[in-house]
Amino acid sequence: MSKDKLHLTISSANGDWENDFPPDQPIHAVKTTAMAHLHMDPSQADQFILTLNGQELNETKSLTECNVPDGAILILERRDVTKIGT
Amino acid sequence: MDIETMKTKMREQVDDVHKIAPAYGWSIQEDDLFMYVEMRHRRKLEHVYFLRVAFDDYPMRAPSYVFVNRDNKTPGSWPPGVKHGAEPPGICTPGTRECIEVYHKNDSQYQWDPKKYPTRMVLMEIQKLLEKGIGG
Repeated sequence: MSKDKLHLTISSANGDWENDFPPDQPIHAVKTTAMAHLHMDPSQADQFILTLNGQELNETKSLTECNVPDGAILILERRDVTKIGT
Repeated sequence: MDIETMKTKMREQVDDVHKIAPAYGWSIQEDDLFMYVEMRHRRKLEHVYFLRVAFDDYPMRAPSYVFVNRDNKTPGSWPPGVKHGAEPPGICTPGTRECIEVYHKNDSQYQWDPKKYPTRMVLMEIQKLLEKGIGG
């Protein structure tokens, strides 16, 4: 039986946010909602990705389509690295 | 600063890192004012490295982040593309002692602020650098 909601933790450099999401929620919506709750500027959403087990989640797909399980920890991380010199 | 205050402040950071460690596959060890993080490429699990984070003088100074050999904890075994070319060996990403006090000393853009650069943030950046350096 599928659950009505998926309980997920979104972890970022700024902290963590737990919430229940509809399984058909698109990844992009999860990301922008999480950014707002984590006091990050959603207008910079393109600079960030959501990952599960190191794999970037396709933002055009839903949580179910990306096989995100209940209780998962998604990482909200920068798309590019911040390295300022070598 | 007394060592008990340093340990208390370090404890806050280590506890926070533990929250995200499972998602990254990090294994955490502690020894006095050192935290050791076993890091691996999340998509190439055979690439494993051992990072030492030194909290001496924390939070007055930024922690030092150096990859070391697991067995004897001496510097070594760096992932490709992560080590800065200058001395001392370090990682040039915001929030590391080496970056702030040496590589970008006197650079107002990278002044030390423990609230701005929590340990979890720096580790997340180092994880990205490690994976980019290895590729894939």
